[in-house]
Amino acid sequence: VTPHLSPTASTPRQAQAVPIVRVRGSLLVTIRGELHDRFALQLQEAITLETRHTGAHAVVLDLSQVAIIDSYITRILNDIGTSVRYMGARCFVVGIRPSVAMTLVEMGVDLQGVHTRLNLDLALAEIEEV
Amino acid sequence: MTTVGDRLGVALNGAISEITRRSVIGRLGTLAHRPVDSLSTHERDLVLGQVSVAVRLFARGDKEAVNREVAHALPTPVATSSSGERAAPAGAAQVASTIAIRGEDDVAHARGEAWTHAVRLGFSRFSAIKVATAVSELARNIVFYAGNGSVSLEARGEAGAAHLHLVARDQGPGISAQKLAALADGSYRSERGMGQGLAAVRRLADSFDLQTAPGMGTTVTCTFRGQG
Repeated sequence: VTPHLSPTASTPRQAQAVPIVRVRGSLLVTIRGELHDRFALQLQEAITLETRHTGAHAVVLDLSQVAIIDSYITRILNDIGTSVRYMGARCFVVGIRPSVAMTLVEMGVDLQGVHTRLNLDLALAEIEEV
Repeated sequence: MTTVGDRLGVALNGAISEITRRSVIGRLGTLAHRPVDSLSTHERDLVLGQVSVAVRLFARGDKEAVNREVAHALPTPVATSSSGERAAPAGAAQVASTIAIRGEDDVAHARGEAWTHAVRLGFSRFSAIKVATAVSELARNIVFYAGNGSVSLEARGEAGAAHLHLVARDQGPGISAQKLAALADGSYRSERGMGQGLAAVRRLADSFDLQTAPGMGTTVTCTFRGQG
């Protein structure tokens, strides 16, 4: 396990390192608290660059700490998933809370761009199997 | 006579910017004009709650220290004086705020306020998330399409069965009849997803109304019940 922090270039006010951790050929990103818009865009860029840079075959986004996901964030997650897939890797979103999942269903938005799994364990087990 | 607003102004001086400070104190409404020692325990808690949200979002440096300072600045009511408690309006009536939306930080702020209000009204977790998500969508539309506007949240109805009344208003370009029709039948997809956002709010809310015309701005009014 190699902890690897990928700082993203931006103005000082929004300087926020995107915490991408390399785990056995996969990239793991744990989002804590607010998934801020600016941060979401930085995330998209950082993940695609890092996927290319490390040759990762999977990206796992852990959203178990995220309380609210709206349609904009959903679209960014789908975009991340699709761009990662275009690069030949798989993108998993794990840990979506029950109330967030129910809200997404009610809103009528989809998360077709990513693979969803109940938790990090299950996603990692599946990635290791391949 | 020192008012709650004066006292908070001093306590928050240096911790958050002048503009934010005024906005926080302004949002307290009539509570800000009351003498500091006239607050009931409940009212004092409401004030501290509102301020701590702002401190968490906007304060520089040690946020805990700022909150302690604020708590210290407002005298604790004497426990035996229950007259103040009875005089206080029902909890639901006190949940009301208007959040100016000018940029992305305000979207996050509005989302947090919506969540706080819903929880304070006794909404279920799922209902609170629905409210916060809807506020997020509407505030974001304001930032994307109008540049600025406001989101108002107000509790209505009896305590225990209260619902949240939400109004998102802007003076932006408005939405044309053609786009509205496309929105209604689900065929419209803007580049930034306004269609999806509005459709999402319509589905999340218990009632939904959209007033708009080209050049006339947009006002979305909706309500949320606490259950379900």
